[in-house]
Amino acid sequence: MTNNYSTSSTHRTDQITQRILEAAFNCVVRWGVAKTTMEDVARECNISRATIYRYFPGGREELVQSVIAWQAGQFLADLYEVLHGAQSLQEILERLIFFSSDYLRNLEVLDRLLATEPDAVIPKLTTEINLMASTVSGFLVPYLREFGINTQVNIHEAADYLARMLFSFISSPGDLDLQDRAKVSDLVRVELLSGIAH
Amino acid sequence: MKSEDARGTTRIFAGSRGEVPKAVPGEQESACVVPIQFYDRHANRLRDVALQEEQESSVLSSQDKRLAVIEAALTVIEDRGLRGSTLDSIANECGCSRATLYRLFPGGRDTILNAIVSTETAKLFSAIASSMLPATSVSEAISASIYEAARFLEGHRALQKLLADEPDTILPFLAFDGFESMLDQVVAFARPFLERWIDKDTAKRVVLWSARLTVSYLLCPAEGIDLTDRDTVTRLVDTYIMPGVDILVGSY
Repeated sequence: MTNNYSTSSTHRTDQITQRILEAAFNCVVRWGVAKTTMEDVARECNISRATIYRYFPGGREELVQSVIAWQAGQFLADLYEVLHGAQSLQEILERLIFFSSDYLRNLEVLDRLLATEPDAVIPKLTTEINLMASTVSGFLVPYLREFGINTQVNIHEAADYLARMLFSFISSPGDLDLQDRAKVSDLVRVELLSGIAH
Repeated sequence: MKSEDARGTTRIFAGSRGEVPKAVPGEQESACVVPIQFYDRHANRLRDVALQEEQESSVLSSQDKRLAVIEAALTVIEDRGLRGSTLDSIANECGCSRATLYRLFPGGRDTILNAIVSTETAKLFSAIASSMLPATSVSEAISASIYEAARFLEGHRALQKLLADEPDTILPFLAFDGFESMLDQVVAFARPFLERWIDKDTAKRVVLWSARLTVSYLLCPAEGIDLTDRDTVTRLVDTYIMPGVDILVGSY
């Protein structure tokens, strides 16, 4: 086997997974996490429950976690596009904050779930955010290398620090308006980059 | 004060006034207006009330009793987690009745849990305060507060138990909107300590910044970064926070 897409059956598998994930996402948007059953998802995508269990042996739990991971993956892919062409670390982080906070603001499903089922959603999100923070830190490293940082600072530690602070400010901005360009620019200059930029 | 009740449970304290006529010291046996046989035939609750009355003369203050309940409830949480911490298990742990718990905490279990959050937050804040007082510079004060908070939270067995086994019960307080209301409290408490060296606005930003950093590394540890190690904390503060403080102090 040379790659994931070398056979048509693998491709088909991906398509089915995709259909199930989309259906599950639609169900969660409509009914919330707690009220979405495997039966609902099966009906939504017209795939039998048995088949869904074959793809997600962990059942409902695994499916919900996979929907979040899938949405997070889409988000990261879009983010990658947005960062393309930035001219400085300052600009990278500003764009990242705008894009992410805008994305979160428009993610109505998240607001609804946080309001109606915080106990079900927050732990899953927190797990996912931790994973995503390490992913973000991983993809910040090349930018730090490209634009250069204070030589006193370890590049991996700095990227990890940035990812943490980004997630903290974006998920709980407090009284900070993350769509206010001047405020975000100031935040990036002080809290994020003051010790890292050279 | 410890004494034995009819069921052989050790009691930490006796009940308070009001439900049945007051016992006169030395006359406990006869103090109950209702014959003891009555209790034998009726609800445990009534018997408990009477037994607490017997011990009326050997009491701790109400506040001490409440603290004893909170300590007992923390022990129960450490052992069984939050879902296992029923009012009965708390009553059992402190050797008192449900009636007594209701008298001390009128809302029952929820009121006890809220009281735990308040007392533990107060303990955390007072630990942080005493660590910040002797500091001689902003950098020392920030480092001391992060180190102290990390030591308190990492060593908090009930909190660690919940994070490990029932994260859904505790994470809503540490993420999203729950985290924001916690940050407000932290600012109100810690800002004055930093105002010895820096202005109000800078102090607020620095407190928020340090709190975010602390919670992030505690909830999701990074390899090689242990906030209960003083040198690590000092290094992090000097590397990532102090350059920003210098910018802020210069610009206001």
